[in-house]
Amino acid sequence: MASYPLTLPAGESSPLGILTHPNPALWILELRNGVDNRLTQPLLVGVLKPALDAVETDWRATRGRSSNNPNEWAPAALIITGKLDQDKFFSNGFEFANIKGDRLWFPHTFDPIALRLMSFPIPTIAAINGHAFAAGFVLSLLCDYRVMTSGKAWCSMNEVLFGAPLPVSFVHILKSKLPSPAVLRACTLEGKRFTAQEAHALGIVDELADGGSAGVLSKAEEVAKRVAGLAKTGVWGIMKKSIYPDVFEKSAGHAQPLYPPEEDALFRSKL
Amino acid sequence: MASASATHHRPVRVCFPAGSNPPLGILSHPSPTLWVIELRNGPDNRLAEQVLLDVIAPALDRIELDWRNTRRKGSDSEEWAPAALILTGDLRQNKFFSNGLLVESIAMRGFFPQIFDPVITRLLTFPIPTIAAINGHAFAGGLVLALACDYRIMTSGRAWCSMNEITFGVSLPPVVSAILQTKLPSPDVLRACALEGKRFTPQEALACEMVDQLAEGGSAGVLHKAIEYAERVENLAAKGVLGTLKKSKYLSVLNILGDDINLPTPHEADTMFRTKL
Repeated sequence: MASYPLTLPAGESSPLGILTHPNPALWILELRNGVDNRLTQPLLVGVLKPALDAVETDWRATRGRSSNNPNEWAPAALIITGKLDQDKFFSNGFEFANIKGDRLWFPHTFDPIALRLMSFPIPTIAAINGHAFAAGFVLSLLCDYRVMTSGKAWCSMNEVLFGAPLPVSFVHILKSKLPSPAVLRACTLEGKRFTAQEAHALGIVDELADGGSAGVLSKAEEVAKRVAGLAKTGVWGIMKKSIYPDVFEKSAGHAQPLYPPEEDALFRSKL
Repeated sequence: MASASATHHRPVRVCFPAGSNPPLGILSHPSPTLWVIELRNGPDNRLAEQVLLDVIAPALDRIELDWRNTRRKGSDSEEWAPAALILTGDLRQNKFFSNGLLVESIAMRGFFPQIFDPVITRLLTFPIPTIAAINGHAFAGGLVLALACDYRIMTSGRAWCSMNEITFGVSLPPVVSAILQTKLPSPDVLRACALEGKRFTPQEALACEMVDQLAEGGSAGVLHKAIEYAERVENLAAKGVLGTLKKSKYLSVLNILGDDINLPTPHEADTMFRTKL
């Protein structure tokens, strides 16, 4: 069993993330990377990955424990939240420097962790305690449930506004989780900023919570309690791979989409 | 055999399997444009191998052959007769539409790719409109059968729709999963249905558009409403292209037919995780 609270990356004096295990059926991962919680390489590889490893290892060890039934695991859920001592950001997505020009960023760094989270074997809840932009919004969609602050915070995919294409993995994640083609269009083609109230009305988030980050976390814990039992039969993650096949089958091995200057050059070369 | 003329229509009633007594299913043809398959396999109407192969498959054969024999030259194109098929549970009771597959079928190697998937995808892409008259509980394979139809009329009485595999720790076979993904109205409903194993009441199923209409009056009422619906949609068969359109629409389902995709069982997933540590 890991030692909680687990501060990550291991050995760092100022952690980028803290994993706690307040009761046998609940884990909470607080991501805390600077002012706006960017999903940098150290955060993804040094925090998110080892946190998922620790939770999954400890949860799998519960097999057969309570009932002596080897086909039963403990009820459990994982909440992922932004920095809890502020109310402005859940996550502002990637650092542009990380993704610009690094053609390995998606296939090698982000996608494996994203797909792992999306098929995680226990229910996951994103406690969206502030703005969720671009990859930050995608992070919340990778979770099974979303609780968002009722305060001033937006969800958006703003790639269209700064001229970046969507990676293949993002497309399939968005299509799997957004409620309709109309919402997909508003989100990806219009770069619409959904207020928390709009996100809730459209079914993008499941619940709103008052009271800032503390209130969001508290509501997320209510949701966690309600859904933790679904982990017991051990098929939760497998079921997700089954019902979201495009994410798992089509994210890898595809040419990443072109940036506008590349597409421009390609068009001209064909003239 | 061809039901070409309304004045000469001979109502058909065929019991399946051939020669069995009591029948596991009855095919009737009460009017020139209407077919009804009533499944009658025991108190909870399981979709046993025999029901799939010796009732539904041959009944579909009979309907399709008969309907295709109505082909004639119309004013500007070839035409077939209007037609619709209603699929229902045992009309002598109000408790079950179908309680799904038998445990022994699910455990049988190759059952889904060889037996279930071909029958269900045939129904999914049938060349005449299909209406499920959900006259009771529709659980697991029973719900899939209803979803494979174009339309769903459900009793307003005490009955639920659910996929309960999550409670048994069994994953969804690929074609079943693909049907849920394509027929359920939204990611939220898919999550509630497949991941949470939610039991939808008729009112909830209607509100989220999992079913098209509710009907009072038990099985008789559901059948009556389904017949009204059939009369509204039977003309969709007339140009002979409905089946092809369905094949295009449900390409994602047809493309995985025959794939023996093996998702791990919970035990295997556990083992795989440990060996990676």
